Amino acid sequence: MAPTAILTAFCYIDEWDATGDSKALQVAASARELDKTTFRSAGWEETAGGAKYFTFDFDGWWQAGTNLPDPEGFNNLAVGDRVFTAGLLETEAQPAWLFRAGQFSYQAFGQYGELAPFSVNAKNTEGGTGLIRGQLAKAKADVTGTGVTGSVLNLGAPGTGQTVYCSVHIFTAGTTITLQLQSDTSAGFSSATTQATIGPLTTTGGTWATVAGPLAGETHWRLNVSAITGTFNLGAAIAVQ
Amino acid sequence: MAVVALLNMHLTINSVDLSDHTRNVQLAMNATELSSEAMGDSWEETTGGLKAGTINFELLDDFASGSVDATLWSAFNTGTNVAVAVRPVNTTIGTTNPEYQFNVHPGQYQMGGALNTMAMKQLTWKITGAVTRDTTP
Repeated sequence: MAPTAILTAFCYIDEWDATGDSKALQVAASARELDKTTFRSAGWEETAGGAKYFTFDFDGWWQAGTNLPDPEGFNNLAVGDRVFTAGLLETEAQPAWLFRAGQFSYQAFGQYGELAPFSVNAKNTEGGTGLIRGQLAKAKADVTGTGVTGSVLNLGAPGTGQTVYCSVHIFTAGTTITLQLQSDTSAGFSSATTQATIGPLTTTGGTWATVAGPLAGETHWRLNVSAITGTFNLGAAIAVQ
Repeated sequence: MAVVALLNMHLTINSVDLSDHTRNVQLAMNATELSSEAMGDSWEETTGGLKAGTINFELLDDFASGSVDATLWSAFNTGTNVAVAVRPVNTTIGTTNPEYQFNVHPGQYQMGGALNTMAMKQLTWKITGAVTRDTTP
């Protein structure tokens, strides 16, 4: 894959597809730098890593209405553990970043004559997990029937101490949908194992599911709709970390 | 050797050659300036203390397996120090083409940008431990 022009980035936040409202987004993560220099450091400072932290900033064009920037930005100020999925390519199996965060800053409006802007800053609100790098399993789309939805992802088998993470965003809801997070030892999925059941989901919003490793050999992952009534518009990502 | 136009720098991070994605590399090192003047000195005096440094680099982002994002994310997420090598020309190390070799604490990571721009990473990582200036081919 070559260097990437940012043309099709995406951002899902709980039930809000912020993609069509945004024109810039950035994840910035850091680790605290702890000095560990001693007299045996040969005259050079030495550093160890401490706790990590990250922020997620995005901005775009302001609008008000259901699932639009203003109510989403204002009403969710300081609401913790919202499910976020974002990336630079809204294509299944491309990298996606999943995390649970709270929106701690919302800015609206600006200069006379300009299109009204908005910006949001979010920070981690779940200390045990932080920023997760995975892949987009299901790009935002309608789902109407049972069966596999989205793409098979080769994420590698989770080892000891690792966890499988799955973020699911319901943007518009039918009556009910149940998803299965499945794994197998190869892309053919000749013997799928359901590792987690997500739902039944009946409303818009975000869902965060986890499965603890190790799961030896379970390298490939996918989502399967085991039950559905109505039409659901949804997006999802899966990660092993 | 003549002055060098920075057209072909070499940058390796954690054994991954990222030269062909590198837009900017700056290596900045300093020594703590300890004031050491005393009675009888009519001028201030400085003695060098601990050395330290940072590497500031700007890369075109690339999400292919084993490329920029995977390499930098792995280093940051793992949290252990990694080796970096940088030299002004991506040819053989020599007295006119020294390579700076050091470990860094990968304490920053970023992803994203604005519509209609190239995805980039611009990061500053702190050097930990001694820097070696290698001129041996």
